[in-house]
This record gives sequence, C-alpha cells and structure tokens, in this order.
Amino acid sequence: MKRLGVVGFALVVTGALALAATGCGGGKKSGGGGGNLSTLPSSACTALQGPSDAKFIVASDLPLQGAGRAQTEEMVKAIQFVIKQQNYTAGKYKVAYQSCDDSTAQTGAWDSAKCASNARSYVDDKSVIGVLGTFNSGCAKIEVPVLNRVQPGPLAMVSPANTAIGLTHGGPGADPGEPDKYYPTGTRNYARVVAADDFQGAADALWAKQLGLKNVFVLNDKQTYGFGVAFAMRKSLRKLGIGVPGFQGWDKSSSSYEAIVGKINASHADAVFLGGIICNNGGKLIKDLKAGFKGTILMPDGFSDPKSNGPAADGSYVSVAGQPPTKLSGTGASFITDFGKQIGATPNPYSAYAAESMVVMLDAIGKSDGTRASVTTNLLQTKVTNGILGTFSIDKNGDTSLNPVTIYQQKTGKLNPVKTITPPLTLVKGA
Amino acid sequence: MATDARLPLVRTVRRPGLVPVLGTALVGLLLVWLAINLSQSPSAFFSAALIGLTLGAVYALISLGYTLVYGILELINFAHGDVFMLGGMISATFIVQIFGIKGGEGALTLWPAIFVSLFAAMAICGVLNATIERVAYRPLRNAPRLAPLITAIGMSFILQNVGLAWKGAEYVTVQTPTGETLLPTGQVFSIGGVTYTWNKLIVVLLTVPVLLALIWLVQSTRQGKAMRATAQDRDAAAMMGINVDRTISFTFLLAGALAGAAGLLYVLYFTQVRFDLGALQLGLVAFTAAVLGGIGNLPGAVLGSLVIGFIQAFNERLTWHSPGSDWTESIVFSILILILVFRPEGLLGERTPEGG
Repeated sequence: MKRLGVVGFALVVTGALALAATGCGGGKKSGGGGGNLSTLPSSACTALQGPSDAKFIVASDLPLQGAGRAQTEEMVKAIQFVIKQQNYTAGKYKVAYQSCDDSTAQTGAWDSAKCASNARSYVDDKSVIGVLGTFNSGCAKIEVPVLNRVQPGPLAMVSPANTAIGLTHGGPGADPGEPDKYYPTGTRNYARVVAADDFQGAADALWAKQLGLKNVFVLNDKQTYGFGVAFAMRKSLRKLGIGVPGFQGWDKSSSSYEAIVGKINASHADAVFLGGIICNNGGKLIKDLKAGFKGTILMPDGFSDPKSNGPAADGSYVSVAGQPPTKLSGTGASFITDFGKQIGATPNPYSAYAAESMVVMLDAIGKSDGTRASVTTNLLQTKVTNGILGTFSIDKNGDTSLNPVTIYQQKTGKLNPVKTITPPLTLVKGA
Repeated sequence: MATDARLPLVRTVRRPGLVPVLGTALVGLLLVWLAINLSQSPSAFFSAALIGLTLGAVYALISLGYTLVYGILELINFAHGDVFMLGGMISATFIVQIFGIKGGEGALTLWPAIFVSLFAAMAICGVLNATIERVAYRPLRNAPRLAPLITAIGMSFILQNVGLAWKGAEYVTVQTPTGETLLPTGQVFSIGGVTYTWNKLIVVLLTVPVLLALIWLVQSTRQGKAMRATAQDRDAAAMMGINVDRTISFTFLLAGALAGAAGLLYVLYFTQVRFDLGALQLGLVAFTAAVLGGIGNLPGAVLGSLVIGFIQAFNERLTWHSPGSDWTESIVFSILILILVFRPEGLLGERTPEGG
C-alpha cells in the first residue's frame, strides 16, 4: 500500500506538471520568430512564422485533424504561400502568421470547445489583428460573437469556406435571430470569400434539373452546415419542380446506412443529395449508397476532398463555390501554377479561397490605422480587382459578390470540373 | 381480533395501475404500426428485418462481454467497448498489413488469413481484458462500488487513446479497392425482391455458435459452474474451494476474446473502425442492449441486441409513418426507459440490487 501510495503521488505530481506545462503554452513572448509579439498557445497553434519585427499576427483557424485533414493542410500551405509572397507585409505593417487547429483528435473534426477556446485566445492576444477561418460554419457561429464583443474591437474574421446562410444574412435557411445574434455589438466583423449555401443549394438543384433528375432524396448530417445546405437544396428543388421524396438526417455514429439506402430506393428517388461533411461518417454513407443505390449521388462542398470520399464516390457530383482552379485567369491562374508547383499537384478548390482570404485580410490591414476596429471597417469595404478568385467585392453583410458554383465529378480520386453555374437571384432568393 | 384483522373481510378487486395500461397500449400501438407496414410493403418489412437481424447479431457479440462481466462481478466494464475497438484494429492490421489482403484474393488465401486474424484478435483482446482486470479492477474488489466504476471509465479513455495513438483519428478500413467488404456478397436467397447476401449470413452464422458455446460453457462445464457459483456468492464459492480470482480472470479472458471476435467481424462487415467506435458508438448501444435484455443474463443480452437492431432497422427502413433516422437514438433510449420502468430487471434478467 505504501509503495502504491508513492506511485500514486508520483502520478499526481506528473499529471499536475503536465497540466501546468499545457497551461503555459499560450501567451508567451516569442523568441526568434516574432520579436515582442505575444504568440498564440502552442497547444492549438503552430509556431510563429514571419519576421522578428512583425507588429501583428494573422491567425488561421481550420480543422487540421480528421478525414478532411489533407484538404485543410493544403489550405494552410496556400495561406503561407500568399503571406510569403507578400513578404509578410500589409501596407506599412509587418505581419506574422500562426496556423491554429479547431479540431481535436478525439472528435476527428471541428470541436465546439476548441473553437470557443481558440476564439478567446485570439481576443486575449493583443497582437492578433485578424483571423482567417473557420472552415466549418458551426465553428464560426461560436467564434464570431466572441471576436465581435472584444473591446476595443471588434476583431476581423474572413472565412474561405463557411457557407451557412445565417452567418451573414437572414431569409429562408437562416435560423430565427440570425445573423444579428452573432454580432452583439451591432457592428459586423465577419466576411467570407465563398458563396453562401443559398447559392450552392440553388446551383445543385439546377444541376439536378440539367441531369434530368425527377426525384432527389435529401439527407443531412444534422449539423449547422449540413442542415443548411440540405434545406436550401430542398427549397430550390421544389421551386424547379423536382420532387423531394425524403428529407432526413443521418446519424454520424451509425455503423450501417443500409436501412436508409433501402428507404431511398423505396421512395423511387433517382438521386440522393448528401448535405453534410465527410467527417460525419460520410465515407461509410457513400459506401453503403454505392452498394445499394443505383441513382446519382450529389454532394456539396463538405465532400470536396476526393481522397477522403474514397473510391466509392467515383462518378458522384460535388459542388464547390467559385470557378474551378484550372479555369481561373490572371492572378488566379498564376497562383494555381506557382502553388501547384510547390505542392506537386493541382490545388484543391479551397486552396484558392484560403489564399484569397489571406490577400483580403492583408489588404484590410494595410489600409487600416493599425487597430482591430479599423481592420474590420476596411474588411467590409473590400473591393478586389483581378484577384486570385477574380474581380469581386464584399458587401455590408460580409458576403461576396462572386457567386458562381462549379459542379465537379469525382473520377479515380480526382475532382474534374463539369460545369460552372451562376444561379439566378430569383431562384436563390426563393431558396 | 388480531387474527380477524389479518383476514380480508371484503374481497377487493385490484384495478390495474396506469403504468401497465400505458405500457400495454404502447406495445399494442407498436404492433399495429408494424402490422400496417407489413401489409403495405412486405418487401420493406422483410428487408428491415434482415438488416435488423444482422445489426443485432453484431451488437450481441459485444453485449455478451458486458453481461458476462456484470454477471460475475456486478461491474459495468465500460472498457469492454474499447477492447472491442482494439480487436477491430488488430484484425485490420493482420488482414491488411500482415496478410496484404486487398480484395479479389481467392478463398484459399482469404479465409486462412481471416481465421488467423480471428485467433490473433481473440487471443490479444482476451489477454488484454484479463490484464485490465488484474491491474485495474482486482485491487479495488473490496472498495466502494463507485471506485471500480470510475476505474472502468478511466480504462475506457486509456484504451481509446491507445487506439488514437496507434491508428490516428481517421477510419481504418478493411475493404476492396472500390470500397466494398472483403466478405462474399453473393445472394443466399431472395424473397419478394428482398435479397439476403452471404456477408449478412456470415455474421449470423458466427454469432449463433458463439452464443451456444458460451451458454454450454457457463451451464455445463466445471469452469462454468465455478463462474456461476462465484456470481452467486463469492465468499461461499471460495469456501467451497473455488479459486475466485482465477475464475474472474477467466471470465475477463472470455469476454475479451468475444470482443476480439466481434472486432474482426465488425471490420469485415462494416469495413471500417475508428478509435471512438467502442465508447461512443457501439459500446453504448451494446451496453444498452445488455441492460435491455437483463444485465447478467446471456440470452437476455442477445435478445436485447436483436431488439435494438430491429428497432433501428424498422425505424429507418419502414415507410409508413416511421420517424426515420433523425429519431433512432431517441427511440432506442425511450424504449429502454420504458422497459426499465415496466421491467426494471430487463426483458429476461433476474432482479438484482441495481436492476430492481
């Protein structure tokens, strides 16, 4: 017993030390990389990248663990590519960069507690002048209000990937109280360079019509993004006269989706739409559909990483907002060529969005007076000419004026662009 | 007077309480709903029944481990689901990495690899489970009931993190290059458009003999007699010359081996396994099945598992007023609550201090 007691005491002391070490991870003054900058916690973020005399930090907030990791890691590389290309400079300011992770190994996807903790870190670290992210709309809904409340502030955020409607504007598909509940100070601090789900849902519905589909069974993963895009899809399908014989959620912890596939078959649907993300057991759902369903599989950008989708997704369609990387022109084409050389492959569509979000953020910082509030004001007045994604502006809500959606088909582990659709506003508003 | 007071002077008629009436009404409604679905779409009904049977068989293999340990030690071994998860990972490692099975191999290559993997998974998981008992549970045998319970939860987290460190956060897959199961998927029979395939039958064919062997072991062998005696009264069993420690270790070994077999079957049928499969996904379902059937009761665990498998499949597959997959978990746990209200000991269980 005595020996056990000593061992127990040693374990407790070791645990306490480990916890203390973790707690010490944040808020330290940087060594070589960042001069007097106070860096973000090492428990969530990588080391500071940038000049030793940098004045500000721009942090990215993406889920870097789980099924979609390859895609988000490439997005981080795209962000690094841009900031290096601009010599870590935004106007007269020198800016450093830290990549933060909003996922946990345990969930293998974004985690609400991690999102909240990251947001508090950005707010508390006075060096942080802007945040790029998040990838998942659910995470943005947690982070945006925290960043909005900070005084003096608010702290600006640009997302390369959030598509939930209610983050920026109300209407069908947005929850009651959205988007105002995310901006408690009344001042907007959030923008996105990607089209919202009302555009994506409308584009997917138009694509279904072009394929001649008559009945589309709509599934969702019961999360913010998944439900939102599925809802928008259903509205647009109905408006186009396409039947929706089923609208229901899939349980991410389920071992098998055979029963759901059977129900889809019984509904005489000729296609199924998977509103959700691959991390929510989407791979298994696709496998079960492939095994038991002969119709067309339509997926939104939550399934935009073909490696994670797996071989069973070959032949299915994936929609991603924006032009395909290979169709970008001017600055965008140069980015795709140069960045493609660096990573040794054709970049994923979201890499261009990540790169553009960094460009937009650096531009807003460059035009600011060096305060968080000023960066936010400039962010919401963004006008980009011949940018990576083309020529566009950000409106007062934080939405982009660039609204094309590209339909890709997955073939042998690659996404091949099939058609780019710009849905008419009449259909989008109806959605 | 005293004698007269004990005698009922007027024979009172006991009216049935509200709870049994409600319970009977609910069961009646459920049966009516099933009957209408059967009449409207027999193919959907039988298709759901076959899916439910397969799901239930997989759950049964896991829930047997829970119920076996509870029966002898009255301990809810929360780590059991995680031992099952490691069984899946061990099987995946043997099949994919050691034997290099990628689909398309002949039966002479595939089946020996599967049987060696089965033996390895059962052996490793059995030893692991017995080691957990020796290291974590035995020192707490006379401690308050809460201590081993918390330890079991702790062991669950430790094993999850072992799985996470070993294979990472992503799914480990055992599948053909096109993402299909390695098991044969040919048709066994087809009735009214409902096809029953070999991969489903293999799951059932493995579960039934395992259950029968387990019942035989517990009911008809000397070791089983020792297990039953230990379960009934540990002190009395020790006085009768039974080595209680060894009997409990053997039970954990057996439960671990079952978890290993279930792990192999799971990755072969469902094609994937992840570190949180045991705790968050199947562990909870299997534990619920064991409670539903009557924790501590072997046939009860199988019955509970089948009930949950059928509930899931009927709810998600049937078309006439079925709530659908949005409500599966709510329905499973609502039925668990209802059964515990009406039969605290579970469907086949005997009354225990916990069961009521």
